[in-house]
Amino acid sequence: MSGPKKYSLKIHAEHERALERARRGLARYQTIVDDLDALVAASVRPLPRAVWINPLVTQPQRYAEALLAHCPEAQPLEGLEHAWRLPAKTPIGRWPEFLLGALHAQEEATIWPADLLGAQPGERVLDLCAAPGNKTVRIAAAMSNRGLLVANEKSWARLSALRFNLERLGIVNTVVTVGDGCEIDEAWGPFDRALVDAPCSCEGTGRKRSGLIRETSTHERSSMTSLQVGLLRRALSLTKPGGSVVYATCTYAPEENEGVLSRIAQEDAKVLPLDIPPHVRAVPGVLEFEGTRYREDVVNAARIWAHHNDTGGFFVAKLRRL
Amino acid sequence: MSRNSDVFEPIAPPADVLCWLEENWGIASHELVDGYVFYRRRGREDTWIGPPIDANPLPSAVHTLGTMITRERPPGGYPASGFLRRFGHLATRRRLELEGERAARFLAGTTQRLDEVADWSKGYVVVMIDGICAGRGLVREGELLCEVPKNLRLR
Repeated sequence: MSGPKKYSLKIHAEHERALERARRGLARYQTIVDDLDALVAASVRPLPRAVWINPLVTQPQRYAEALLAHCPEAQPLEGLEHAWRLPAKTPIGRWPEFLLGALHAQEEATIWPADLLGAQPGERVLDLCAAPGNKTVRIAAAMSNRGLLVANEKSWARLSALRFNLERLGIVNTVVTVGDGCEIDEAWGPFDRALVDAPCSCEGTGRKRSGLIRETSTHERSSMTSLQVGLLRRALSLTKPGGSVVYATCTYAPEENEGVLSRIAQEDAKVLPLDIPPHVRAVPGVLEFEGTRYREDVVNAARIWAHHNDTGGFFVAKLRRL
Repeated sequence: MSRNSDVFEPIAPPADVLCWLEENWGIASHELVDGYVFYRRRGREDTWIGPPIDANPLPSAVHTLGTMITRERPPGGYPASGFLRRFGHLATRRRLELEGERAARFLAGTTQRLDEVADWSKGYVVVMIDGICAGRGLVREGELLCEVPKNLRLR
């Protein structure tokens, strides 16, 4: 057999294995997704990259031109100012504009949920699970570097990535704290808004790992869920009545999404309808999964399946503290 | 548990640091005072600039707060890279604008001889590239050395 043919057969076999792994990991969502085959196929495709221009720099047009010179295939992201979709594996980290902090790369599906928080200059905002800081810098930029943003991270190992992004983009309004988000010091509050981008089983980020979706055991899922509930309750308790809390994960598992929202008392918070940009295809939260029924207002949350927008998978809900 | 040296305390605008920034690089202090607060870690000589926090003492577990201006008390030390990223564009003295090949060499960390710094005294300079402060350089005997952190250099 000739070399190239043998090589292409090897690639084909690897692709088949990746598909099989993704199918095994995602099969449990058969009843809640419109097209499991399309989801599985999307989950093994390389993830396109997305970049946006740091709004804290002047002359954004100058960096837009530089970006298009580096990557003429860049497609503007609809509904977002100065943001583009780039082919997978574009080496953004080697561009001078990235090193200068004029550009930031962030998974496309996670850009608008960070924007949903609606942070304003001068407010007090909490980002409870901050590293590596992609949403943190997006929020700080929306706050025009003014007010107070508390970015908490439990893992010391992940702090350097968070600090790198904050320094590179010239963010000054942020305090980085280290510790368990469930026990963050209440003296930081009360906040106007909080983001809980909770640790999860990460099924929606499989595209970054060639479709590798790790199967999660029931025990692991239940301890993950307890942590997520603890984080969301802490964020709600530190938010002013009337303030908003955005809860997000990068998993499809209803136990870690709608299930977590359902463990919040109805009198503590309400899940609000989302203002979903018209170009984003999102489906409502599910009311029932594997025999468990969730609170009625979870339908206001949004599920982003990988095959709908050719992005990673994501779940987001916005709650109002009552 | 925090060590004493990790405890941040708010301080009044530090006149020595503000004068040093203004005299050496022309960074106007009113731009720093507006909306930001200065901090110092207990038992250390560093100065930080960050958001206002209405709690005294500051809540626990702070790792970093805003960005460090300088690690030492002036006239020693140098302006920190993170500080220059945000405020370096305000510099009016000892400021270099680089573009093209010269900018690429600086970002790659290469020392270069520049005509315009031939008669500059030895010391730190603010380097601007494409309208953004790339960070700190050191001028020495007509040469510009790059002092940008290694993880922000072109590889």
